Amino acid sequence: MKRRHFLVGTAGLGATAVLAACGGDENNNAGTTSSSPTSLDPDTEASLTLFYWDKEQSATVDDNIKAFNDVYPKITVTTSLASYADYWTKLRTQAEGDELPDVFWMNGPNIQLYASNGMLATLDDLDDVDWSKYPPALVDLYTVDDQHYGVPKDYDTIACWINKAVFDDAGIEVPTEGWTWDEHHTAAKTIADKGSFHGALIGVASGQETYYNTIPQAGGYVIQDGKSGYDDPKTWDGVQYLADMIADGSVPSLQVMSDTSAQDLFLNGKGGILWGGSWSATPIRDAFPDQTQIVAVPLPVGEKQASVIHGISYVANAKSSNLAAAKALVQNMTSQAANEVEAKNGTAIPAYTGTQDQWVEQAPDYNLNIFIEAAENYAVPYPVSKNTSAWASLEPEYLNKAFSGEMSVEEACTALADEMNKLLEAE
Amino acid sequence: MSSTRAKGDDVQTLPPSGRRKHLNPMSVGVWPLLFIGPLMIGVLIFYYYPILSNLYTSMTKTNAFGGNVVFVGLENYVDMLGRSDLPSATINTLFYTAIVLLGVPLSVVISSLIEQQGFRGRSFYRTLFFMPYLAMPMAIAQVWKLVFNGNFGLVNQGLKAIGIENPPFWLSTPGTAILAVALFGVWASIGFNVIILSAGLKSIPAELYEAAALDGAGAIRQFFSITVPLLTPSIFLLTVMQTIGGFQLFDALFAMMGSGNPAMPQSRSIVYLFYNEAFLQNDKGAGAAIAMFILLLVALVTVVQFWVQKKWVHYV
Repeated sequence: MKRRHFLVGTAGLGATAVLAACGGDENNNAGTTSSSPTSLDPDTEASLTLFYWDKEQSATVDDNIKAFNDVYPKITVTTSLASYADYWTKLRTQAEGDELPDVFWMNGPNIQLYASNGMLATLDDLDDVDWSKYPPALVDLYTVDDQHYGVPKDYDTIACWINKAVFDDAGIEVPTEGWTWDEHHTAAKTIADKGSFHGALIGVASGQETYYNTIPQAGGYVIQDGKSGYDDPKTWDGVQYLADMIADGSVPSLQVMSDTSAQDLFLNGKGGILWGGSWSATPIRDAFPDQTQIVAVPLPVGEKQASVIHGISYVANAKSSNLAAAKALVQNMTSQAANEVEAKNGTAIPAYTGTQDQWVEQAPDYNLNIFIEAAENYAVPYPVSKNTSAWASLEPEYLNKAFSGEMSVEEACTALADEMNKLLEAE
Repeated sequence: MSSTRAKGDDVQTLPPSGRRKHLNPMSVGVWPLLFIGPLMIGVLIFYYYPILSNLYTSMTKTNAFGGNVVFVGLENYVDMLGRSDLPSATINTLFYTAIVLLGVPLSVVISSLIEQQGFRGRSFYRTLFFMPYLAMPMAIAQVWKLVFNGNFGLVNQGLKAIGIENPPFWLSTPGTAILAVALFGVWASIGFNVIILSAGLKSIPAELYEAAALDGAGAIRQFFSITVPLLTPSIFLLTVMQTIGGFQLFDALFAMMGSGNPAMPQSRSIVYLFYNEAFLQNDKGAGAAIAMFILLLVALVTVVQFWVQKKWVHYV
């Protein structure tokens, strides 16, 4: 699933976090006393609610609930659906009224907010979940205070989408895995200098496809142990790499990509390289009838190789009146069998290792396997905290000044780090 | 006309007959309450209660889920007034409102052209102008985003066609962004304005125009001496409504510009600040304080408008 604009946020580190965490533990302990789902009696009677946001995935959800009912025929599962924007508003209202659904979808920016406020049940007692079968960076994303709160259902990683026709036009070789920052920059510059196409389409309005990757590639970090990484010189290198390419025209200006998204420019054949997510596979396939024209290549390597991973997980309401049944449902919705259904029905990359073949084979020429390899070998977790949206909304404000040349990267990042640390302290 | 109108108000405030002053107001019993009750209950629950509740929220700090309520008095207001972006957001909001208000005189001209005596296709044009009002604002904002697109938008294609090199990126340049959103606001408001003004125009007696024509007044003179003065009640209504709407600028701005827009820091409206505090920072108290600020600003401007209207609005 693509999660580019996280409008809805999070709350609480520092002193308040301690209080919140205590509150959470109480609820969670109450939850864990109930029997483990593996020992859940197949004759259990319960009615559960399941809340999610993507209409495209209704078939997958329904099929997997059917499989659940084959084992637990007396548990009724009622689903409800909301658009992504409404989803978080509704969930917040339900949380305030202690009326969360029993089982629901969760994303990275919100997991710590809900987990640390005692809204979610820990899932450590799910005996049948083999955590090693999911990408480690993704499992980490849903681990709060060393406890598992979500089982991943799908994920996305970032790579470079290459339009081979543009490379041919510029007379340069199509890159291969392991290409470096310099090689990438040169290729983008060569294309842009020729004048017919944009070089690299890197939409810095969103961090996920852009600086969330170059920062760890440079050896820096966005957030670690509740502190901003924007005052780290290595982080500056990651931002500087993008700023340099914007300054010399290898990457189009902020204004060009603010009016037309990087992906839309690429889909219209306007550029050679798109820094984009695995979610772009379907729109790209729809836009280019000739599949051999496009190939996906891992992001260029800076000091190291990195690609940011994000994915959705299933979580259970800590205050569910049928917690054991709810946990059993979470386990069912994220099992290997469920992920195979997910793969068959398409949309996102299923999270369970070994179930991704069908997603990869949708476009054999694209070499989609690199997105899976990124997840398994060198992915870094999506940066989050308890109130993610508070500082994430400041990133474009400060970094845009560096990308437009209004401020130096060091100045912009230092100012951002100051603001971000203040907000993190207030959590 | 205005000289004969000035005393009209006094006449109307007199009791219609002498009988009224003997009426004991209590003798009508509970009937008035029963009649206005259903309306008042709605107003109390859906307008006054939220305002009071918001006032209370604005004096508290809570966690993201509304728990751990701490009363902090005016702290949120002090923080709000100390914000460096409040003045610019206020100026942007006033600028947007001023531009949108220019749509009112424009609508007067359009509606009086449509409502001309003997003009064919009147209902066609009325429908044409009213259509945008029926469409979803978020959807038409998306269309206008394309119109203003810097790379290949309609506006810039036109500017290039008449020889202007490098026209601006309207929606991602500080300064032009809020102007572009305001032009959209004018366009979106015209439909509603025209319908209200058309209704107002129909209430102007045709004899006035006939008499004016006999006295030798041309179309322009008739427009300024008959149409405009007799439309002032409708014009006043629209001015108040568009001002209130202008102060609430958010959805068009948000839909047309988007969150990562390089011009956004310079183009925020006051409601955008509210959105940022309440939904991105998850600070409900701070958001509520900004909402109270907007309410006060709107109330103040509206009171002034009602006060000033006595000088220029002519009720028949």
